[in-house]
Amino acid sequence: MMSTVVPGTVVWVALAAGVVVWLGVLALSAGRFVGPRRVVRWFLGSWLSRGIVLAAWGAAGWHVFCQRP
Amino acid sequence: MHRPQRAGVVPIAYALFATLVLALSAWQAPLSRQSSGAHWSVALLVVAAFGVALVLGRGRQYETTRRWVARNVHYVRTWRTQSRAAVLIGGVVTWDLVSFVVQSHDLPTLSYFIGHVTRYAVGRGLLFAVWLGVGAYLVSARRAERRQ
Repeated sequence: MMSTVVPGTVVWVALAAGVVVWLGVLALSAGRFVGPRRVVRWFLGSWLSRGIVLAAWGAAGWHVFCQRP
Repeated sequence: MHRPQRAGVVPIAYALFATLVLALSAWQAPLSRQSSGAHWSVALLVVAAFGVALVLGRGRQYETTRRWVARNVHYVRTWRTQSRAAVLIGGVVTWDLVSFVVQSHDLPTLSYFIGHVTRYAVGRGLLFAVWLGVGAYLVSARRAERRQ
């Protein structure tokens, strides 16, 4: 069974490739660039930002496990 | 003085948490997204996460909210220094929002792809375990030493 590749999927593939390249560069750069771990730790620096990121985590969980996909 | 006692408690706490995650994920795996069990469990876990974050993080945040905001206003003004990461993260978030708002078959959202994993019990269970692990990290990571 053949499934057609829609334009949105092409954009997602390009973004995924960008993430892979980013992670590859991070692995070789010895901490010179901002990585996902630093971004998350940056969000955990204060009550407000920790609350925001926890709310986003909760909303993502509700969406993935209780709603549409 | 209490260090050795504490050092023994931490692995037990991790083991208990891992057991809890495995049990919850195994229980969650066969549930449908419309079931009340799925709704109640996710809602209770989110509320519990906020409660535990408040207990564990009391007096242990690195910065006050005001200082964090002020520092990041400066950071945003100089965003070009970290433009690669900002463009990539912004690109993913923006594209997902655009795809969600347009609601077209040609523009699938990230959750559409995730749905291909969660439609199977194994995928749903594994993703639930990952979600719980991420939540535990967000609740407990990067806490400063308690202020006296």
